[in-house]
Parts: sequence; C-alpha cells; structure tokens
Amino acid sequence: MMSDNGKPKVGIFGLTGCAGCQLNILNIEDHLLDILGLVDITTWVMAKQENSDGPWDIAFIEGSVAKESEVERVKKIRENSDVLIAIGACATHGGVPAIRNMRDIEEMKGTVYGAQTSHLDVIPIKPVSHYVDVDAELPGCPMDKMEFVRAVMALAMKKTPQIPNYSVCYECRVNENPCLLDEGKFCMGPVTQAGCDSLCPSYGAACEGCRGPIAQVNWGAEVKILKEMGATADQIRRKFLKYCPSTADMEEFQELTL
Amino acid sequence: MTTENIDIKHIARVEGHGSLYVTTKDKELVDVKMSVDEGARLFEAFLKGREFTEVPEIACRICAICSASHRVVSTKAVEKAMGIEVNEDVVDLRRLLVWGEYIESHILHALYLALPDYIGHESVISAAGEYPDVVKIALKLKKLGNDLQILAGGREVHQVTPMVGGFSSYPTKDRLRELKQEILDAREDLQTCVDLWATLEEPKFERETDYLAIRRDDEYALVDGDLATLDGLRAPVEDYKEHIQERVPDYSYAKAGIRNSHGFFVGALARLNINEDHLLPFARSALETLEIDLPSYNTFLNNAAQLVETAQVFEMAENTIDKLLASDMEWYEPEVAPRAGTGTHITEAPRGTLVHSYEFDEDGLLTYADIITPTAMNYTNLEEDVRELYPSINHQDRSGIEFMLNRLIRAYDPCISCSCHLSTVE
Repeated sequence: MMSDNGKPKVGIFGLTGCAGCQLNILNIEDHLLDILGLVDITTWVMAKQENSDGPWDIAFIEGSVAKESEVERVKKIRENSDVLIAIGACATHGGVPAIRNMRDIEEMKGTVYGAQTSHLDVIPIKPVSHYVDVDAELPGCPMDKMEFVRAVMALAMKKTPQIPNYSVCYECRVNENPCLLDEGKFCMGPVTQAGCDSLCPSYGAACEGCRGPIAQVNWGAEVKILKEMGATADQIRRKFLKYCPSTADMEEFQELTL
Repeated sequence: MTTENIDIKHIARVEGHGSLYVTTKDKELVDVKMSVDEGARLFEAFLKGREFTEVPEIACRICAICSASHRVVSTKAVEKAMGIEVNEDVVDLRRLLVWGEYIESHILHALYLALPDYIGHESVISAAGEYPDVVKIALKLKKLGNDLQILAGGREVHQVTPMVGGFSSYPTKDRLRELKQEILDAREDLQTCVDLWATLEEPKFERETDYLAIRRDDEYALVDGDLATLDGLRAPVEDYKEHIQERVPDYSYAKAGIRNSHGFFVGALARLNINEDHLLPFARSALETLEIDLPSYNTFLNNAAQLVETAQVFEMAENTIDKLLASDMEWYEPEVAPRAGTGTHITEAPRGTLVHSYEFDEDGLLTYADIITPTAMNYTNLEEDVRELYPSINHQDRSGIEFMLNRLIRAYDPCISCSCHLSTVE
C-alpha cells in the first residue's frame, strides 16, 4: 500500500499526553527534511490540515489510553496499520499520569472537577500494548529524537528498530560519568533500559527511570542500595513507578518486598 | 428555518485534541461550544503526596511545548512554600531557559502552524516545496530556541537540570559566548521572517476584551511580575483568585477562565498591549515593520505579536548572557529542606499567563495544587470571539467559514493537552 511515490505511508497519532513526543519529531530540525523525504506522512493532525483515514504502512502513537473512546481509536489504528510503534513513556508504560491508577479515582475526579463527575470518560490509564499488539516501542519521557530517526531509517528498510537491552549504567561508564549513587543521589540507572546516552546522569541529575525496566531486571539489588542510602519504602515505590506505573503489574515487581 | 451544524472535529495544527461545535439557524449563530477532547489526566490530584523536590519535574509534563515555563513557575512556587532563596545567577539561567522556550514555541506556532493559512498551504510540509528558504529559516530559528533550552536545561523538552534551589549542572562561559553569537547571527533570519509577515494580509476583525498578563516596572515581564490588565489592574500574584475565576460550562466539565463575567485574553497580544513601554529596540522595529498599532483588539494579530516578542526575547537573551558572562558564576547549593507552607507563582508561558499554586505538609509532601493554564484562561474568550466573528463570515460557503474559524482558534495558539483540568462530555 505504498504511496504513488513509492514511499511508506506514515500516520502520527496522539492519545492522552503532553504532545512532547510529537514535538520531539518536529525538534529533529537537522534531519526533518531528510526524514520527510524518506516517508509520506499522510496523517498528522498536530502538523497538517489534511489528514487521511488510513491505511498506513507505519503508525506512530504517542500518549496513553486514558478514556473509553481511545480504546476504540487505538484498535482502529492497529487494524489500518502494517507496523505500529508506540513512542514515549505514556504509550509504552503509562507515563506519569498513570500514577493515578494507584489512587481512588472517584476521589481524584472530585478533587479536580468538584461534585459533578459522572459524565467524565475516565478509565485506568494503560499503555498502548495493553489493548493491541505493538511491533516496537521507543520509550522515554519524551521519546529520544535520535532514537526515532534511527527507527524511521530501520523501518524504511523494513527492519525492526532495535532498543538496547542493557542498563543506563553501561552508558554512564562509556561516558565516564561519576556514579551518582556514590554521591548519595537516588539514581535509577542500574535498573533502567539504556538508549538515552545516560542523558540525565551526564548532567548530574539522577536517572528517574523514564525508559522503563531492563529485561532481567534485578530490582532487589536496587532496593537494597537505595535503602542503605536512607530511602524509605514509599520513596522507593514512588521512584520505581513514576514514569512506568504499568511496571506494578509485572510479576517481579509484585514479588518485591519494599 | 434551516438549522445547520458546523462541526470542526479535531482541530488541526494545534497541540492536543479539541473540537468546535457551531449551531446556526438561517445563517444566524445560535450556539458555540468549544470542546476539549483530551483525556483528563488529573494532574492536580495525582500530584498529591509527591515530595516537593519532584513536583516541578512531574508538573512540567502537563505540556511539552511550555515545559520550561511549567518547570520554572512550579519550581518558584515550591521555593516560595519552602522559603528557599536562590542567587541571581540561578535566576538569570532560568530566564535564559525560558527565553529559549519563547523562541522555539513562537517560531513553531507562527511559522509552522499559522503561516500555512496565510500562504495557501495545508501544512509546513506542503509549503516546503514552494517556500524552501522560509522553511529552512524556520527550522534554523526553532533550533536556536532549542539550543538555548539545552544550554540551560539539558534538553529541549522536559528539561533535566532545573532543580528546586538551582540546577544540577551549569553551562560554561564558552558555550554562553557561542550561543550569544548565534543569537546575534540569527537576527537577520528573524528580520527576514518579520519582513515576510509584513506582506501578508491579516483578517479584519476587532473585539475589545479584557487583556491580562504579568507586569513589572523595570522590564518586559515574562517570568516574574504582578498581575496586570490593560485597563490598569495591578495586583500581587497571591491574589489571583480574586481576578481570575473559572466557570464550569453546562455542556462540558471544562473549567474556563472568566473575569468580570466574561472572557479575557492572555498571550503575546495581551502582553504587548500591557507591556509595550518596555519593548527593546529590535522588537520595537519589528512592531513598526508589521504596522501593529497598540493596543490592538484583533485576535488574529496574536500570530504577528509572537514575532515581535521573538525579537524582544532575542535582545533579552543577549543581555542576560552578557550579565552572566560578567558575573563570577559561582554556583552554590542552597539548603533544600522540607517544611509546611504554601506557595503561588504566576508566569507568562509563551501562550499566556500560567498559575501554579501549592500547599505542602511538614514533610514537604504536596497536599493541594491549583494549576490554571493559558488555554483554560482563553477558553471563554475564544467562544466569544467565534460569536463576534461569525456574522462577518456567514456569507461564505461552508469551507470558507470553517477555514476562518480554524484560523481564529489557531491564532490563540491553543495547547489543548496543556488544559490540565479540561475535559468534555461526548
């Protein structure tokens, strides 16, 4: 279903979120015109007035599924796309707004909207993969724009984008950063999937885990380190679930004794 | 009697998901409903229980384009609550971060999202073929804004270095010097954009409304100041609830800004109307080239006003960099300890006035948050503008009417995902 010009048809979609991952596509100033040359963007409401209803060779979805109508939308996009890529922490792991899943939703609605909340379409926030199969995920809050460029190049060659399966600590070593845990900062680097080039620790800021847990994650060891540094169980739980609340559903997490 | 609905579902070339529903009878407008289709994220509720140090980092995720403004205003509100004082270099570096955001955001809106309407294109992507030079300049200027945000904040979206009490790392003087030179070099490109915009035809439309922004005596207020209106109000930001009310329209659960029982306008045009006397020479010359007479009551001129402000911010950034270069830039880490307290700060995000107000318990955990975004403030005014504009465009065919309504909404530079406590009944 390639376009007449032989380029893959691309749709870029936003569910509930801050639009930061879509903005980061616009932020690829040095390569934007080259990327636009590789693909034919037929749907992108944030940037275009004329938008097709599909089908698409590749669909990118940012944001989380936060209301009933978005469940239908995400299914429809899946049906009409050959390849579906979730971009950013909201789409891959729920993102910060999904923190609300761990609270009383009725009480929260009341806090923001007052007495009349019965018509609000509010469901527990889930990542895209909760409802449909995804072909790849580009995690992070926001998605790393150069990772997106590499993904588009891979997809244009009909390959699946590769995400590193080692931790942020590896990138810190390569970048010769001093270890922030040694400095007493509650860094999530040891348990967090790399691919950001250890951006935050390179600026002296602790990794907050926005890219989600690495495969075969050893949470127990991280909990032990943080506890020894003086973190409370509440602080550790807040850290572990800040950007990736869907992590709470993982068996290994549920087995953790904080 | 012919009833006709002009529904613009999923307004394009704005951030987030919104729709406009207009009901007409025999060409007369009966009803206007702006609806926000973004899922409710409930930031003010789920921020409860978070530590004061992490509140700005989470709160800035309300909006990507204004993440620097959210980060800075949130940090200042937290610092007020905790009684934390920071030194002038920290203040200046934060300002620099925000100047970067203004350049990036204004160029994105004026040249990527609004300009296609003026030159007969559906997007900047389709315009790139006919106007490659303009698009290249737009990319370059937008990148300059992002470079400034990276210099001060470590990243262009959801910055990593700003912390309660300071920054986790600081730029070198060499990098500051380079950036200043880049800004000076980019003046010519910005002038080209201003000259181009001066040749465009602006829609004729005027409606006097309340204009609100922050204001200070010594400079064009963008980060810090009192609440002010065009008709002369000056009030401390802590009193914001007396001057900015919110209504709950019965057709949706959206909260919408209201003042003196009608809408009010925030954003670049409001700031120019209120703070014109503090414009620096580059911005003043842009204002003259664009032939904008202030105060202006033409909402569509908000696009051009953003270009004037970009020129203003160029010069403010140059001056702030000079000030930092002349300082010894000895960063220190202030005492950051929790205490119970309340803190309110109001800033100008590129799209308009932005409120963050918090309460914390003695452990420094958040117990209350009130956040009012520019898009929420403009909500009522936008509907009032549609009512006023409609009679002057109802002779056009449907696509012509829809085109003008789209343009009007876009002129607000709405950021619908940023309307953190807006939602709608579908």
